[in-house]
Amino acid sequence: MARPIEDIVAQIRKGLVPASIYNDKDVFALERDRVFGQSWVFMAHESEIPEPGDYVVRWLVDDSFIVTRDETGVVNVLFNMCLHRGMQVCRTELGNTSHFRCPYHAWTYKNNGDLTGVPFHKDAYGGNEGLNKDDFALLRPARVESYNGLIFVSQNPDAPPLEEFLGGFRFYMDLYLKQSEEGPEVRGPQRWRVKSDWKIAAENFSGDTYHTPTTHKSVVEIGMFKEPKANKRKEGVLYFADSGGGTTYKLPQGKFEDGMRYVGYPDEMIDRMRDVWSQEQQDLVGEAGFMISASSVYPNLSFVHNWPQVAEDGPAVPFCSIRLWQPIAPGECEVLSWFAVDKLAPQWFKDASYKSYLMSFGSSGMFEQDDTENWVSVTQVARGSMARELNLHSAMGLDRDGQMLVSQYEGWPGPGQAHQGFGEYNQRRMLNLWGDQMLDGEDGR
Amino acid sequence: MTADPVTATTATSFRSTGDRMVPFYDELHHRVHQFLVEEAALLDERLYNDWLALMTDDVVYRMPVRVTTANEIGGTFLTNMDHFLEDRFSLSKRVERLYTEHAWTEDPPSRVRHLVTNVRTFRVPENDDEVTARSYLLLFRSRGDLREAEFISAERTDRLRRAGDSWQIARRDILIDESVIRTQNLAIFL
Repeated sequence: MARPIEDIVAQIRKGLVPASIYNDKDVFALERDRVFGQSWVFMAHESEIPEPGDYVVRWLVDDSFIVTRDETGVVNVLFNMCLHRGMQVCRTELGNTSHFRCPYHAWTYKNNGDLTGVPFHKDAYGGNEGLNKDDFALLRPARVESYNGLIFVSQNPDAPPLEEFLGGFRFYMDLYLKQSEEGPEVRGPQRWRVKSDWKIAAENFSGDTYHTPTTHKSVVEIGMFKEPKANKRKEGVLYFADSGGGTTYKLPQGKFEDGMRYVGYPDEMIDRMRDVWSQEQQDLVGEAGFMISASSVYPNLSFVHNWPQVAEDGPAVPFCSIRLWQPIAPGECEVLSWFAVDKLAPQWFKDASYKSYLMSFGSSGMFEQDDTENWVSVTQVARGSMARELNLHSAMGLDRDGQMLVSQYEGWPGPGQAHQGFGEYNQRRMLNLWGDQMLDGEDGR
Repeated sequence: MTADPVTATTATSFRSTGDRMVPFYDELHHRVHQFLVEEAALLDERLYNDWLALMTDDVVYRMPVRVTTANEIGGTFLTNMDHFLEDRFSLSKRVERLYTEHAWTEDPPSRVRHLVTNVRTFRVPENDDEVTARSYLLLFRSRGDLREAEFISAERTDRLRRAGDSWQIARRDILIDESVIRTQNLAIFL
């Protein structure tokens, strides 16, 4: 390591970011063990595998996992490696099957991981006496838990329960993904490789309102999204609760339903939200007058909710996207981007919301295009010797003594800390969680 | 989602209509080929407004997400997720954005080369106003001085509609060969 991790984390505690953390093979190797070997990491949404036999294949850094729904309807996460000679028993990205048959020697596993078939089991192994099939099920990650249909795994057997880890952030996650009793259906993911470190993306989504007026100026200029003007963005509240945090926009004065209508939700959806959201969740929109935008859960899961205009003189149409910043190599990540929409939403809304997503975010989205350009540029220059000496300034919202420039937002209805105006509170929180894990492999809290 | 990753619109339908393919020596084929080559030049020269003028008002411009699926399922595209699913309005916004001074991802611009080959022209039954053109596309994209060049390989199926002496694009389906795209974004047209 070019710089000891203790030194790197000490700088982070002061609101400084040693630039080389974004492109350094030793940092990456340590992250693989201490961050991705310990944290709760998102795998898939249950609506991707609605029927028995459905499966998708997902990666956790270098480990391939098959996320299946077995014949009894239970979700399983199975390590995609045959216990005989190590072949990947599944070489597709998704599908529906009752069994995975290894193409090498035909060991066959049920979609719950049980080994059911071994060719010439009696002749070659002496039957169960010699090789007890019960002992050779596909491996599993240490822990698998779901929240609201979001399936997470952790390789840490002692990790706190998922809901405890997510903590107060669940309050905000529900605003994206629990807009009715039924919850969302997700489509995708779009997948693409970006020569950017995953942390840059996760930090950005967690709280970088300061970049919006500059990076995304073009989208405002063409009249597609009216909000990101500098002053408008500055009025938003940044919140952080336990595992994650995010950004908001200030809404025009009004009640809960006015705020939801302003960003384009039809009344029938607003009624369902009212049925499932607590008074405090509704107050975030109504009383307090804010609308959720981007957010991140440590380490590499993000959400985005925006409301661009998708037709000439048309109204704003909101969309939600789930985002995973999957580490690939030092300075490179794969982006997995899902579109999410409430299952009970009317079809016209689903279509318009999908259009809204495609125009603004994802692989071709007009917002996101400029983000990736910036992140690739940062990552490229972060690998050199000068970057190892440079501590980037990440202390926005603090004075020179490290004291907060503004006090907490009064009357914020949600859990955690909330501040109005520009500040890098959330990026610091994300990197401090990273620092905790990088030092001692703790649970990410 | 997993229940319906069926075949994208084109793959089977054209095999059965192979007899309607226009011979390479036919003038109709030459006109179509010339149109596609000139269209590629507009994109490579970044004459986006001229390119946009080649789209019909009812254009559908679509690039579904490729996925790796088992043989027996048949299809290898998601039916409900795309990289592009554009109409005239959204294409015009993408073009308008590239002409602003703040579309950073293409400023400085990528050097882009649309290599269009294997063009085949098909008559559309009982429709003299339109033809179908299928082509292979290898898109080369070079950015800056340090990055490795990137490629996108795809097959395109276009429905072209007569417009005076030339054509307009009424529909384009871009069947990309990679499930994971190896370029930082699709701030480009294919």
